[in-house]
Amino acid sequence: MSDNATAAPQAPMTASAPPGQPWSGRALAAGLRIGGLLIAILIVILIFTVLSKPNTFLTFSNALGVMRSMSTIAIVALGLTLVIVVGEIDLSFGYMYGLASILIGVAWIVWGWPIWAAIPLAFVAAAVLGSVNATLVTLLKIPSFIVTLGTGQLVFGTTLLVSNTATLNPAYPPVGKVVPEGEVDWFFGLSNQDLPFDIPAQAIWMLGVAVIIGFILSRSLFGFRLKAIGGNPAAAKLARLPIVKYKFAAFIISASLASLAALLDFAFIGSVQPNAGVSLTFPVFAAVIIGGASLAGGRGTAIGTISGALLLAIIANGLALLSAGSYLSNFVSGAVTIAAVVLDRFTQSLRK
Amino acid sequence: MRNRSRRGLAFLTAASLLVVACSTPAATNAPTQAPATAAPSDAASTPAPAEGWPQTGTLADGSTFTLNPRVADRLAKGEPINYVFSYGSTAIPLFSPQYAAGYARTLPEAQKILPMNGQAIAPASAVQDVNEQIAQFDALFKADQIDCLSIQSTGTNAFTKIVNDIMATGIPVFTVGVESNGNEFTNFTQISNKEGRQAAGIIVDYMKANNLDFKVFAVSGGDPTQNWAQGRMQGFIDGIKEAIPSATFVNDATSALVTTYDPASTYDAYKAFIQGNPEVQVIENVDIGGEHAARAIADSGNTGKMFSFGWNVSIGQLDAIEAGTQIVALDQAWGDQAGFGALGCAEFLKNGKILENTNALKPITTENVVQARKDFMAIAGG
Amino acid sequence: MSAGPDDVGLRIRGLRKWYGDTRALDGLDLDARPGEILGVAGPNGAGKSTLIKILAGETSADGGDIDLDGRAWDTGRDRDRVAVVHQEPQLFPNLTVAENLMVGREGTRAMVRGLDQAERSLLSDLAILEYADRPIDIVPLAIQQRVEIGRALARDARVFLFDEPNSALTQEESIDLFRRMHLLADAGNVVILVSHRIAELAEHADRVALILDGLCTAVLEGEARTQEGIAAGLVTGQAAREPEEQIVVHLGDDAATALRLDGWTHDRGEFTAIDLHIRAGEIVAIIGVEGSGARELVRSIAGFEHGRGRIEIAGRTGRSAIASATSLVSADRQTSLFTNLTIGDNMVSRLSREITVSGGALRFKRMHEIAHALREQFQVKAASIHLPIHSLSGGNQQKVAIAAAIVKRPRVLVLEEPTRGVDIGSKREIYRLMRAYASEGQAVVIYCTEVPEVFEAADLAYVVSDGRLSDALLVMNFADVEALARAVTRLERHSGSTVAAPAGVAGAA
Repeated sequence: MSDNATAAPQAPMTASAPPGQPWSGRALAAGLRIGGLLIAILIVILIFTVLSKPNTFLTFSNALGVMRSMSTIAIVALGLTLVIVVGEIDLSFGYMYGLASILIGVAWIVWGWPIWAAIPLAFVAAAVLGSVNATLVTLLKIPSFIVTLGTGQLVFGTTLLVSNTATLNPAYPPVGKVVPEGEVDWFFGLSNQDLPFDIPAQAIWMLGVAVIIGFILSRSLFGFRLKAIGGNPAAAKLARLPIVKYKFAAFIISASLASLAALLDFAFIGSVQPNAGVSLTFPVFAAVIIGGASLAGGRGTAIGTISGALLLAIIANGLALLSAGSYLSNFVSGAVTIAAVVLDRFTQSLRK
Repeated sequence: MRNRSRRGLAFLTAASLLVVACSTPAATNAPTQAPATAAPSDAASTPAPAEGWPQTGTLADGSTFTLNPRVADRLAKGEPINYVFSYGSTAIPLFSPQYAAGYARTLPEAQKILPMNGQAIAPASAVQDVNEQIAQFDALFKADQIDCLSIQSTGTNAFTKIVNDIMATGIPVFTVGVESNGNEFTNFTQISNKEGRQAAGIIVDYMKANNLDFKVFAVSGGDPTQNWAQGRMQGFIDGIKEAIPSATFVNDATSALVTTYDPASTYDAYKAFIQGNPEVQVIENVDIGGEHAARAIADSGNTGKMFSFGWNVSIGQLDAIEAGTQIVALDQAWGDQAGFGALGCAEFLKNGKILENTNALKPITTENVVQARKDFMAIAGG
Repeated sequence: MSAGPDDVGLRIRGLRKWYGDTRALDGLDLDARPGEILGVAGPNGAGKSTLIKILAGETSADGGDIDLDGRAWDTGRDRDRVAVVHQEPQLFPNLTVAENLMVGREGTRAMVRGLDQAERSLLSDLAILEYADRPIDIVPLAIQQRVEIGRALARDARVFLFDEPNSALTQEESIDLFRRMHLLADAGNVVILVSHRIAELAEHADRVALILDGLCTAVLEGEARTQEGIAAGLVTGQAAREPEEQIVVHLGDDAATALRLDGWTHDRGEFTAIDLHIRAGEIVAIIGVEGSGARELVRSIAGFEHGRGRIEIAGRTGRSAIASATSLVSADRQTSLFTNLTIGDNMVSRLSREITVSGGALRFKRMHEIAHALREQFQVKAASIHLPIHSLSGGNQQKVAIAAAIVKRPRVLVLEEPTRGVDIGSKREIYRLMRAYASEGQAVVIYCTEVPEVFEAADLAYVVSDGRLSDALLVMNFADVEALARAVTRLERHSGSTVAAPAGVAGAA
């Protein structure tokens, strides 16, 4: 196909934006959507600053704590964002997190595999789960909500089976097992580094993942088509977009990022237990939706998801800092989620 | 090995409802240890004196117990009876393996006293579900597969009725783990409020022995709304205030810090809490999260200034005890709770003897941490 | 509701609406009196669709007054005063036909009710009673449109808006629809008919309002209300367009074959044993009513219906030929366009290598250039390609959909009702673009329901009836549309419905 403009060659190109400036309208729209969210974040920061003792909440060291805690949620949420953008839902990521950490733990500590073989095992499992999810959704046409609800339970059962409901710590392997100390040090180092300003290592990982997912969503053909497929599956079929392939990719990436988050948390805490990860379901989902992704599909940004994760992490941090207690904590989490979405809709309608 | 004393008292306490609900956003509701109720009660009505047992006698509510003919027949013929132990879940880390191990440990001992076939059953869900658990053993009961039953009760009133119904048919029942006020012969459990006070005593002793001056305290837990959590906190608060009148608590049982059961989230919560309350000196965790408090204390540079303590045994807590940041880990002897039923059934059916509740906390400090680690690895190392 | 002494009907003054920088309505004044049918004509982009949306309460005006029967009417809140039949049926896909009819009027009893007598006779008159219990999403488009008509008729509203209501109806069904509209008007309601079919407006509307550039430029009544008058009034101010010269595409038998079908049969029997041979440079129209198999045949060329037999396109056969060398624009715009994407994004949505660097990153500048060029070429009236697609009028959206298919340069471009619900000016532009595309050596296959379109756009026409293909009609052999229409009718061998024939020549200047 020729490289020239496919239109009538004689028509001069009247640019409505200076050439070379990429889709400025779209960037502006995304910015305004984030704007509502940023306002919500600032309001929450203000409230917690006022309520807490002086010089406790609004400090650099507390910010570092928030950075670490948002990393796990953000990494998983970025993967979930792709699935939601393509118009599906994944409810199995929490259980994938659990399985990934257990697989690494069991393979490395109990079966005696070297760490560089144990870690890929988790990602192989992620690829398998993602493929199973995608197969059931695209070929058997079962709604992804049900599929991932079911596969999540299957994964959990697998986790319990493999782990024998034990907790594992590489520094203290079970009687008769040996874990090389060098591997233990390297592994813990994945999430525990002496970085300048004490920045948590997991935050760096989060930024890396965010950059990649952000690039995918905003600047790649893959992301462009994900949005098309999610926005209008019928039109995507007419346009002959590779729907099945892309859904496979989305589910596999979602499971893989859950595995990555599990790996990093394992390295940080130093031990694993089989029921970790299930409590991630609400905050991860909330982060994606608060961040502007539409459950109907076709919309979603990395920066939005990160902002959502940030908001939730700040709330959790503030509530713990103030020791708000159970009832208040749950109430506030739910209320802020709703309020953030309402505020976001409000700023969107102001735009029109 | 436990020693049994000869007092024939069953503890019956007024119970408040134990909520075993679905997950909440801030915490997975996996009560990882035997729940206990908040308020101690002195109500103690005992079964009738020893003559007549096991064939017949008077129960706590005044009704008459007549041993089930099928069971009596087996005893007379010397055939093995069917013993069943029902507990909350096979899927809770630390808890489930220790329970399973405790059951397996006492069964052979019980079989020496009385021939019996043993079976331990529990639902496989990550959250203890009363209905699911009842459905499991009820099915066996209706099929006449249970001659003697021990239940790890995870919700007080929810099990009372089924306990009474089963006992009305002449099948002996014992309950362990949580306070229960049905007709069961023995309720082998901790009293959470007393646990809290016992912990307070240990902390005060530690303070004096190390020449420290504790003034500011805090309470926390994975799910502080649970009754046993409330009991442990309130007992601790009361105990401390009596021993140290000038002590202050940054929070209390109603506003306890929620740490969830997720290790990373627990750590984050402690980090934030310490950030916001730098004057705290002792943090109580009513569950296993104490190790993450210790790490948060170390990471925020407060080693030597802040201390923590918690319940149950985990490697992280043992490490923290050795490092000196954690004062004590209180082992509630899950294994003893799980193993009680077999022995209780054997003694009752063979000798007409009703074993009493002797469940006691076993504190683990720097003195016995090494042995505790060995014991733990043997069971839960997986 | 019947008319009372205060019922002076609908009064619109100074209505304004902006979409971004585009002024869709620029101070429109309009009166619609009770007891008459007011026709509304105008090119797409002129503001008709916007006017409908505002009256239907689907969007709000930015300025102006709307009074109904002497009192101010907030169209957004008081929606029960108006019943709308949309250009694209807006129904509840998860409900049955009968349930769709009843939504909103189910009554206050706790039990779900069935159809009452009046509703049954309404469905029966619309010839859709047999579909009453079918889920609406599997029912053909024409039936869906009639359900929406039924919904409107069953409502007790004061204002009835019909927006291109009969684009998927047969002539008889249209006649029946107009009969009902007259009945509504006679009952004293306000009835507004928006249509591109000038002949129908001339015949059925009591007065015809012309909307151009967001204003009502004229209201024709009495003697002025003729087809010629309306057509003339509409093209005033636009560049005069001559009917396209039909380029004789008799390239002889050496002309390259673009598409060949041999023994092409539908999986479920909608058409059988089709032999078709299309050469490069040809625009071929396939005509047939709903149910004849014509639509399915056309869709099967692009692979969206399943056909068995031999298909050869540009040297390849079978499914790989279809996948690589055809592109379809469907009749239903909802399935052609991505509403969550901008205009520019929609235009390049089918491209891949053309808009990426190796490695998969998008070349925004390139996408930008392509989209702008297409906007020029297709004369899409949009202030910016960065606006969302729903800010465009129907005709312009259609152009974007066709552009998106053309830019992939398929050997066979397949268009299903290419100008459904599109105004005259846009129609002409679309035909011009089809011609330009064909003359590059590609082939264009269109499914038509209106003979005038065949006359203006196509080189060859085939009629499908009962699943069989007729012989070819060489359009240039026909002196005028009527002659072509007569020939088409003769080739249809079924009872009852015929393809909508023009009462005159629609749209001729």
